This record gives sequence, C-alpha cells and structure tokens, in this order.
Amino acid sequence: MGMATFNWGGTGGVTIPSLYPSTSVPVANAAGRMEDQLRWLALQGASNIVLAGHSKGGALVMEYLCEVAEGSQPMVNDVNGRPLVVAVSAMDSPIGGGPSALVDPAVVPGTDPFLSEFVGFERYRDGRDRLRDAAEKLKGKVDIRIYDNPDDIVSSPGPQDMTRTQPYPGDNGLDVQVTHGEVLRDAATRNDFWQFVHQHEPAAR
Amino acid sequence: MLRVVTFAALGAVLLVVLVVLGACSLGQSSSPAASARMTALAAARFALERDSTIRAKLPNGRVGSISANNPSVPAMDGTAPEWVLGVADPVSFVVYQYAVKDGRVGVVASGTVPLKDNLPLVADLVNGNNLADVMDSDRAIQVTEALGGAEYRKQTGAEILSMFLGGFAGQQLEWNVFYSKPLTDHQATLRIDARTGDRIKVDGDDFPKKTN
Repeated sequence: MGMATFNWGGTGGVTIPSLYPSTSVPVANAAGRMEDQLRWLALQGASNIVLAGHSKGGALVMEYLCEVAEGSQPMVNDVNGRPLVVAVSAMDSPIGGGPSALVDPAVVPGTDPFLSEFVGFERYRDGRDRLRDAAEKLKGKVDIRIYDNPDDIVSSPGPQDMTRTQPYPGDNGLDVQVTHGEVLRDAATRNDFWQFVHQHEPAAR
Repeated sequence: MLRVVTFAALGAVLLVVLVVLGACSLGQSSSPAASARMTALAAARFALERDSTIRAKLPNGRVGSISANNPSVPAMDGTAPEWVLGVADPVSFVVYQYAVKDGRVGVVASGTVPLKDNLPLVADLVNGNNLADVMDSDRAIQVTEALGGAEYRKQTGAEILSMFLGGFAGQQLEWNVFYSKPLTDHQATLRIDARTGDRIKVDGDDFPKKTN
C-alpha cells in the first residue's frame, strides 16, 4: 500500500497568496485537476485507489465522484484497463449542509449559499440529489464511506430547526455508510477508516 | 497496489498543506501576446519557450502530460481556453500542474507520485525545450473523429469534454479523447498513439462497433 497527496486551489492569477487557496476555489473548478493527478498515478502503474478527503477536500472528492457518475469527467482506468478509483471517503465534509444552509435545498435546489459560494459542492441540482444518483450509478464499482464529526459545526448535521432539513447520506436508505466520529482524533473512528482502506487492497477484493 | 490520496482541507490541522498552497499561487507571469485559445502544443511551447515560470522553478522538470478538461472544454478545432501541463520534479517526486491561460502560466495544483524513470515525456527540460514528436490536439481530434468519434457524436449527441496527452510508464505517449453526453450512459474514451494516430483502445460500450 502506498500513499500520495494532492494539493489544489490555485487559479493561475486570482488566488490571494495569504489565504488558503482552496477556500477561494469552488470544488467544481478543481475536479479536473484531480482527474489529472489521478491520471499521473495511473501512468506510474497505480491501481485500486481510495480517495480520502477531509473537510472541503471531502467535498472535492464527492464533486469528482458526481462528475464521473454524470459523465462530465471520464472514469480513469489503470494500466490494465480497470477503473482506477475503487473507493472514496469524506471526513468532516460539508456535503449535506451546514450551519449556513438556511435554505432547504430540497425546496430550492442549488440555493445553499454556503455550499455554492464557499465550498462549491452543489449537491442538489435541478431537483436531483447528485450524491444519491452517483451512489446508485456507481454501486458495486466505487465504495463510498462518509465520516461525520458530530462536534464539527461546519460539516455535521445540526438540529433541524437550526440547520438543514435534509437527511444525511445513509439516513434515507441510501447505500452509503455514515460513521459518526472524528477520524483525526478518535482512535476507533480512525481504525474504522483504515479498515475501510485495507478492505480495498487487491488481495482483499 | 493500493494508493490513498488525501486532499486539501479547510481546517488548521493541515497547516503544511496551507503553506504549500500559498506558495503555489506565487509563480505566475503573463504575456499579452498569447492568444486566448490555443492548441495543446502551442500552449506547451508558450509555457516552455516564451514564459519562464516553469523553467525557473523546475529546470530539470519532466513534462509528462498536457490536458484540457471541464470546464475548459476543447473545441472541435483542437483549441481550448486553458491547457494544463503536468511537470514532475524528479527530486521531490511532486507533480505540479501548470495552467496556461490568457497568456499566463501558474501552478493550480500539485501532488506526489511514485515517479517512474521510463515514463514517456512530452518534454524533458534538462535536455532543452524540445517537445516530443507527437501530433497536436487539432490533429488528434481529426484522427479520433475519423476513427468513429464523428459517428458517435451524431448517434448519441455526445461532445468532446476532455483531452489528455500522456503515456503509461514503459509505453508510448497517447492521446485520450473523452466523448460524453452528460446524464446519459453515452461515454467513450478513444486512446490513440500520439505519434502515429493508431488506435490503441476504445473504452465505451456503445461506441461504433467497426472501431471498438
């Protein structure tokens, strides 16, 4: 097993150097960058990749997954022609709503100002739940795991009357496992994550 | 082989990444002479011959890829508003993605890779600015169209959404041209030899059988 990292967010001119660049770049603009990085890994012979994103990085992972499922990005294959990405996970990521998600996107799709402007992951579009649709289309091909940190005010679902009203992925019968816990600090949750990674090693598949 | 890729986070936990990204936004330059839309090799020549950004940072860099993808979709004439050069640093094993857009060259992303020595290169900067003897993006589209792409577009309503020039370690440079009609099952990627134009493979179940 190996590990590679991906840094993103530069825009070739409009990034403010003193700020963390990814805060200024919607994830939809970065999905293509991630595809390029995945291709580079494939060219070196990598296979069975598990994508793991934290916070906005998780939103980028899910945006990429949705774009692949929707056909806006190609499914990158390894040198043997097999799909390169076999699993994805998002940790503490604002992919279902957050404190600033004052408008129920199920009622007014795509109107969540937090997600559209700060994160850029438009989960609901044209009345569709893009994440649900992606999970259904890629079922059996890409395993999805979401880690929700109950203490993270940005990513965690809050009380219905304070935040959003949509159920979190997995809460509505979607075939996506949601684990409640903080991967970076909670040992049990962290072990769960590594088990998720290891179960996608070629010998275990 | 299993790879885990982690992505940038908002939190203060990954301060190292923050520093790297901050640095990524600095190395940029511009030229009013560069046209807004270019072919892939024209963009590469601009970035390597007329602009100094890449060479200044990576004098021994290995240019292993050129790509255009969503939202900078290539047109049928092989031009795109933005091309991205993947340049590997053979010392740090980091690949920097340099966008070439509107006469500007700047880093837009970077990532680590287990860099192979036998990776086919578009250009090896330690040996100069010469580009590999491969067809440009305009010619690549002409070839994939003749290999069934045109018929596929006509049958399905698909469009070309991305192009990628690169090659697997130990193999040749190839063009990957991705045809798709989003929100349908009509997706196909044509892989051709970037030098000869010979078809390598078609990934796509509904691509015309005569070439699939």
